Amino acid sequence: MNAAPSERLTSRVAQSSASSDRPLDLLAVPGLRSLLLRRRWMQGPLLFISIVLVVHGFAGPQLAPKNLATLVGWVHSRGLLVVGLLVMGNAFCMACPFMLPRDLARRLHAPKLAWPRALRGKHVGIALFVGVLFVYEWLDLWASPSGTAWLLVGYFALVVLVDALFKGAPFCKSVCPIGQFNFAASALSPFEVVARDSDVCASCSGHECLRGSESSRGCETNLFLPEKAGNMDCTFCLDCARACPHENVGIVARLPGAELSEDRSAAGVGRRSARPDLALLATVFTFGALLNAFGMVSPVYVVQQQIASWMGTTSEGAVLLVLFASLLVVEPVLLLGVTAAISRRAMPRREPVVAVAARFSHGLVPLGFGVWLAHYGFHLLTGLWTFVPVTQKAVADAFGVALLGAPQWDRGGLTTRAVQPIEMGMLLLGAIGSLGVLWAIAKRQAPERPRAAFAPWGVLTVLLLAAAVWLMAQPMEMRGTFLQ
Amino acid sequence: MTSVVPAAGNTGGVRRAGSPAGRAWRAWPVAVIALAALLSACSGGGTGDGGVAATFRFDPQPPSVGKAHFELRLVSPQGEAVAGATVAVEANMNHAGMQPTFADLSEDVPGRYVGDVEFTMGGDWFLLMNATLADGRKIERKLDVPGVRSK
Amino acid sequence: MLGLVLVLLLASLASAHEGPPYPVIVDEPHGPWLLTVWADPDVGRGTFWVQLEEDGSHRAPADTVVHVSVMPADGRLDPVTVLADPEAWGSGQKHVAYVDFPTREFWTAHFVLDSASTGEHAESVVNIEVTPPGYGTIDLLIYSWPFVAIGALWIHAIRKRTRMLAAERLEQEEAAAADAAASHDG
Repeated sequence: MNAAPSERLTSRVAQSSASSDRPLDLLAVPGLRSLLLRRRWMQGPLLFISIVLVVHGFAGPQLAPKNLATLVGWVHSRGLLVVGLLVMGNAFCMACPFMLPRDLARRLHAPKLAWPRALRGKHVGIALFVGVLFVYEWLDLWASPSGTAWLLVGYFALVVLVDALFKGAPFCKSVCPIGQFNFAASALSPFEVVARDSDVCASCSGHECLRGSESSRGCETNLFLPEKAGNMDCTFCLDCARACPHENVGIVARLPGAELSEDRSAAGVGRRSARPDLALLATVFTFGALLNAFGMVSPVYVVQQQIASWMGTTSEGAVLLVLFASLLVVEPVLLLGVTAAISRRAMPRREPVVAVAARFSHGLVPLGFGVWLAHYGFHLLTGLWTFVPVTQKAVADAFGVALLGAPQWDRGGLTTRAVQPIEMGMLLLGAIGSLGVLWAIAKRQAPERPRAAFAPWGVLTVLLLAAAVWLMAQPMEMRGTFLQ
Repeated sequence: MTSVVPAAGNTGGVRRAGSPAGRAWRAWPVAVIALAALLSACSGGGTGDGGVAATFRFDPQPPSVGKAHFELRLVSPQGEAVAGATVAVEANMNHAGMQPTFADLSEDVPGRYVGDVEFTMGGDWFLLMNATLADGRKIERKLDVPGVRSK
Repeated sequence: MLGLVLVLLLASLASAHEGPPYPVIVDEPHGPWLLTVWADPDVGRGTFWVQLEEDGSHRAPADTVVHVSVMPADGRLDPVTVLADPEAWGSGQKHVAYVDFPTREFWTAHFVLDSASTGEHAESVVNIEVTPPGYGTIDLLIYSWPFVAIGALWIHAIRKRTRMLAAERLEQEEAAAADAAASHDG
């Protein structure tokens, strides 16, 4: 049944572009191509902003709303990141500021080691992602400018350390927690980097998109473009587009979320069903969204007080650990386990419950993305213009003169009331997307009885949606201390 | 419940680090050091307030979302009421990205300044109190208001 | 069934306020004043915007003072009166009053206008239902339709793609089976 490599390659590219005759290609838009291919104009300003955040975080006022590190770091950058994923793709990785010092370090010290095989999956990145969520709550990073600055410095140090020692791009592919978040979320993005014409790839012998050319390196996350399927592991760096001598690479419009229901063998990634780490990423992405939102509403303090009194402790770290274990381990295991056990009864081939849960866990990613969008979108929209007075104040403090004018402290954003329908809409849209993807997975896994296979997952989606709506309807109550 | 507040916070700022592209990217460590040095020079600084203590209370206590009556007492190191000051407060959430609210306080009895402070959301807040004393001295205080209720 | 749902929704709309502020008095003439009141009667803190415009040839006194009193409609509690704060508002006057509504029920709001310079006095009373803050079910249903519409298109596209991929798979399997049969025959 195995097709010849060239036939397989042709089939892949044809599938990528089969969804419509001529989908929108951002790299074919006049003027946009050269803009997107020159990455430095995006990375440079972001690196400058990062440096400003670090310096202001350490040396500026240690008041979160008056400091650029906490304001831009936790309000604007997170909001813009998810908006970028929603409207385009992995825009943050495309403009990643960490790559500039990393490339500099590689000029000074060329990496020689291979990233250990045992660490090649997503486990390290997932652990760091959970770690950042935990530290964010534990140390109240949202209220700590210097803590936020230390996190940024740590991030830069880790990038340089990992990528100066190891070949390829292990940091992006396996370590970076923001990257793993982006990879998971970009399955919902409306654009994908693909080969434009299958015939060109079929006749190409140089494979510069992977191997690189004299003018540009090839894909560092090992995505061979003709066999690439979906946005997983794609940083939108466009090294492939720069290296391709045939100008055969496009950023093409596609159906958001469709890749989550498919199980094709993709270059550099493999099959989703053979990657338990990707299922784990999808699960942590979804349930982490609920956990992160739960951390900012008032009922969390009641729960934490109860856990503390049950444990007989006043250690916030210990209480948070229990909360994280409950919501990121126990809850997903129970919910996914029970749902998968019911769903598998409708399947002709009785896979283990864990395998069924892993397959369907990808279907919850749209809902998870909806929750992240609602949460981060809330902060972004309600605090949209707050960076203006803080920047004015920072410049005035630094130079002793109000070069940007007197701080306009009345600059805010939309009211919480105006944002609430948008929040609810994002949750609803995420849930609808999940239902669509889960249905497609059910159709594939149980072609004879798709409704029976889908029903328990549909119920789970509705339950999670209800939880998310309840969370977003709660009054926000950001507190640093809950044990008094 | 009454809170006594220690010394004032610091201030800070940023300055341009230089061109981000091309050759300049090699110079970013230098830019970081230069920025840090400049900002360190700008931050901190005493207020020269002669040890005036500020105590405050809210009604209701703890305050809830909405307007809360705020009462501030300024007391000299000798325990005397500091009268005749002009006092304003700026209320901020501990979480970044929330618009601050402002209130001017009026003196109802010597050394006691009152006004309404608006809290737009539940959670931890702090007040930045700025006072100009009768003799022209200026004092600043950060007054923590943890656990504003969401109703 | 659909009709029943619509009737229930409309009935709910008619009897209760949930969501953004709404007018409770519109252009009611009282001596020199033309009174309009907008209310946002949320449980916890309720807000009234009292707008005063000139009534014909009469000029609204500049020193108008507005008091707002609220009490439960069943009269079980004493009224609470607050002085509304004047705010700049074009050529007219606007006074904003914040009152506490501890419970979800019908309340009576009493608006009293006075002018010391002219001696004018006017009163107006309305009953309003106080509801929890935030949007109501109806508001959220209305605001959610664009998202539902996009979601419906999305579902349609995913289903179309699923069918297309399934057809492709079937075609490939049939072609492979035909190839196998041909090679077996050969």
